[in-house]
This record gives sequence, structure tokens and C-alpha cells, in this order.
Amino acid sequence: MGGVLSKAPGPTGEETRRLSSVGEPPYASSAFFIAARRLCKNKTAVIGLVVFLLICLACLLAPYLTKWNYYTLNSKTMRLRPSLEHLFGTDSMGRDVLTRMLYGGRITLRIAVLAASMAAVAGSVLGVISGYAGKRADKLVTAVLDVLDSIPIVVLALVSEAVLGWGRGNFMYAIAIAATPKFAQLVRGSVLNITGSAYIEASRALGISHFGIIFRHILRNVAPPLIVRYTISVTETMLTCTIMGYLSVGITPPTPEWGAIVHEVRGYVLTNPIMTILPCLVVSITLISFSLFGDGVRDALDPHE
Amino acid sequence: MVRYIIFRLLRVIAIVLVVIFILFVLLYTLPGSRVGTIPISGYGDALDDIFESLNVKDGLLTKYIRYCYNVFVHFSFKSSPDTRYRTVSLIRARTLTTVYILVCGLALTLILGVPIGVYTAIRKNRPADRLINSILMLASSIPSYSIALLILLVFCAYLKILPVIVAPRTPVSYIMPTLTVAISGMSSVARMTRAYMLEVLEQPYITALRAKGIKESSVIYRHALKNALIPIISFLRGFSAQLLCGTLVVEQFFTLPGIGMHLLGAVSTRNHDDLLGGAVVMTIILALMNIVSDVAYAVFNPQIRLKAE
Repeated sequence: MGGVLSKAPGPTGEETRRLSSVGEPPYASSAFFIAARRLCKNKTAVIGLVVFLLICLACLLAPYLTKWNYYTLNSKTMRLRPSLEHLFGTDSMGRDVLTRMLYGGRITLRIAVLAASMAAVAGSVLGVISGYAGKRADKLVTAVLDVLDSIPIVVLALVSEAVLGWGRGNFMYAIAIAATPKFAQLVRGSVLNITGSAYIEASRALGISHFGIIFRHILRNVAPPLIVRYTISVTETMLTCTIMGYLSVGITPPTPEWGAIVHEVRGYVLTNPIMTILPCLVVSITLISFSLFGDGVRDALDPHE
Repeated sequence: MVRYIIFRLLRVIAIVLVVIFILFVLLYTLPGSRVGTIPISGYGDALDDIFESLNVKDGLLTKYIRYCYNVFVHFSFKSSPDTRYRTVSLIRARTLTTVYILVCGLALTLILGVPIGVYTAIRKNRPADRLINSILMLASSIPSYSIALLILLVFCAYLKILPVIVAPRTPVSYIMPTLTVAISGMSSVARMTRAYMLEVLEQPYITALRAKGIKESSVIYRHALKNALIPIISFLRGFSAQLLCGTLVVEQFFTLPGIGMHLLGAVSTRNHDDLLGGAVVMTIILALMNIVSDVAYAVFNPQIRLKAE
């Protein structure tokens, strides 16, 4: 998108920045334009995004990329070393590990993105309520967040599995709940900052409804830190998801999940280390590439750094 | 300061009670809990008496209060008949194992993380800083089970200085778990320390100290680090949850009989008492860690420490 935008005639980044500092609040489109250009200039961030998208694409195209499937047991191909036929080798049940990684990525990445998105929405709602709706609501929301913050994530995941049903990916809600307080605290802080400013007072004097103020002014101002938090959160939820998979919380065999696959192949670490290292490497590269992208987004949206 | 600490303590205790209540209600109103599946009436007087003695018929709130009383006064987690002895004795020993790893891991995290952070802050933008910083950046994205794998590989397969299988609860058995916890936590502590140190080092009072001719090491360790420690301690509060999660992975990886193994074992046997017991212990551990960081915050932060005087 940045590539298309950068060719379009219009004010350059410098001009826009100067214009926006004159008085009016910066428009979302121009702020987005500046940030996207800055992001495209950041090489590590672009490389991170490309690597991450390639991994996502590989997971999406899993059925076309491999001729194996992730669940059929085969006693003839048990514990094979990595070869051209099986790039990552096979596990103790004769299943191709690379295939399981590709299908597992679908689950891990979906859970990570969904959980972070749910947390972002829930956290924004809670944050706006506690920042905008007055002292009582603020106290209530803060108390709820404090309680959520003091439940260990594994406990939360186990309880949500126990309540909603085992092995159906319900720990996703636990991951989302655990990520919510950070969003809420961030949004609350920004909302409290903005509600004091003169132009919000002016909008209220003009008779704009609360919803209008929240959606047109407040959310627009909260957006940049929220986007930064979201990218950090996706990395965190991905990490938590693989840890849950590793601990076999909420993932039942033969469902492939990255952490669960590492758990399955960990027994080879002393006899055939490369088989354990390869899946770990894929997980780490995915996490690193996305957090590089996240760092780039932060630098692009936060000009102080 | 005392008032502040008491206030935080009461708040944490209230939160823990609420959390236990939520867990208790969720796990005991679940369909599938053993006592719930037995129809209580219609078994004759003998069974009624047994149920009476086991307090099955009590209301939820009474049960909850009795549970909390048992947990906090006797440190026992009995709530249903057949596991009352097992749950107590297992949880005690296992809690200790987890606490050892947590305490040693946290200590090592700080011992490694803070000096590295200070060093990189002093050498800002020099090659050493860039190199260490990018290594730390990469390390903070590597999941703790991968780090555990690497440590196992290095110490047991290549260096061959540690045995793969050790008797549980011996000092040797804690070496690799502690290292794993420390290395996976160290990177974020070091990065935080670097960021806060840089912030402090830019303040005018540091320039004034240097102008006064005070030794550089004294400027950094006695004056700058002291102020940078305050935000680092408040960062540790959020970090303790991450540390606890890392400890579980480590327990599972090195098969240490800790509270995490207890909790996960309870899952595979669908034992709701063990599940609740483990969950409650983990919540209490997290709360205790939060209290410790609150107290440390109050001790190190003069704004709070001097308020009472």
C-alpha cells in the first residue's frame, strides 16, 4: 500500500508533518501515510514482515505444498532422519514433521491473531469505559482488570478448558483474557489524557454525542499506540499459544500445534538433535520476524524514538 | 511506607480471595464433578450420614469459606473425600520445588540482566552495545522450551558436564532449570534496564555529578542505577507472571516434580481437586511475588519511603 501511496502526487512527509503541526489534529489518512512510508524505509521491519508473510502463506497453502497429511500413522516411516523426502524427518508415529508444522502453523497463527484481536477489542471497550464513563466505572473496571491480572495464564487456560470443554482450542479465550488488561490500561491512559483537552470540550459544547466523540476523536487518537500494542500482543499470544501446546494444555493429539510438535520431537534431542532443532527454529524465526516488524511499526508510529 | 505496604497487602489478599472464589465456583459447579453425579437423596440413612459428615450438602458459600480456611490455616486442600490426604502432602513438597526454581531463577535473572543492561547503556550505540542488544532482541523472542533444549544440548551432549537424568530435589537437578528460567527472562530485564538507564543518564543531575568530578563508576552505580531500579522493580511486577509460566515449561521439560506438573497431571486425570489445589497455589505464589515487588518498590522509591516521616 505504501508503494502505491508514495507515487501519488501530494504533500511529502515533511510538508504533511509541518502542516499537521499548525493546529488541526492530524487526519488519520495522512498519519497513516507518513507511518507507512517510514515503515517501508525500515529494512529490518520489511524483512521481518516478508518472512512472516511467507511463513503464513506456506501454512495457508499446506495441502498444495506437501503430499503427506498430518494424521495418518505409518509404521514403515517411523523416526526417519531429515531427507529430501521428509525435510524435517518423521516423528515416532511415522508422520512427516514438516507437514505437521505447516498444518500446525494454521492453528497457532490463527489462535494468536484471534486472541490478540479479541483482547484488543475487549481491552479498548474496557479502557474507553473506564477512561470516559466516570470514576465509579473506572474503579470497577480497574478492580476487574486487577483480578484478571493476578490469575496465572496457565490456570486461566486450564479453567477455560475445564469449563468450556477440553481439547477444542478453548484456551484461546484464556490467552485473550490474559492479554486484555494491557490493552485496557493503555487505552484508559490515552483516553484520560485526551478527554481533558480543549477540542473534546469544544465538541461536547457543539452537542456531539458521546459515541460521536468516542469514535471520531478518542479512538482515532488512541489508534497509534493501540496498533503498536497489537503487534507486541500478537507476538506474546503466539508465544503463549506454543507454550500451551508444549504443556499439552488444550491441544489433544493428533491436532498439530507448533508447541505440541516440539513436545512430540523433544525426545530426539540427544540422539538426533537436528530433528528437535528444526521445529524450534521455525517457531523462533516466526516470532523473531514478527517482533522485528512490530519494532518497525513502533518506530514508525512513535517519532520520538 | 508501612501504610502503603499494608494497603497493598490488603488489596492483594482481597484479590486472591476473589480469584479463589471464581476458580472454586467455576470448578465446583461444573457438570462432571464426582460428588455432583451422585444423587444425594434416596440412598438410605447410612449414605445420608456419610454425606453429612463430608459436608456435601452445604451451600456453595459455606464450602468456599471452609476451603479458604483450610488452605490458609492448615495449607491443606481437602475438598472431596478420596483425595484429601494425597492432595495435601503432594502439594506441600511440590510447591517448594517450584518456589526454589522461581527464587533461584529470578535471582540469576537479575544478577545477569541488570549488569548487562547497565553495560549496554554505558556503551550506547557502540559495536558492543549493538551486538549484545541484537542478541538480546533475538533471545527474547525464543520460547523457553527452545532455550531449555539448547541448554540440555550444550551441557549434556557437547560439554558432558551434567547428567541427563538426575534424582529429583537434589541441588544438581536445579542447575539447568534455573539457567533456563534465567536466560529466557534475562533478555527482557536487560533491555528494560538499558532503556531506563539511558533515560536516567540523560538527566541534568548526572551531568552535574560528572561536572563535580565524581568518579564515573560511582555516578553510574550509586546515583544512576539507584534511580533506574525503581521502574525496573515495577516492571518486575508484570514480569512475575511470565516467570511463573516459564517455570511451568521448565518443570515439564526437565520433569521436575513441581506444582506445574501437579496441575497438568490433574488435567490428564480430570481431577478437579488437584486442579483447584494447584491453581490456588499458583495464584498465591503469583500474589506473593507481587507483594514482594510492591515492598521492594516501596523500599527503593523515596517518594513512598519518606511519605510517612
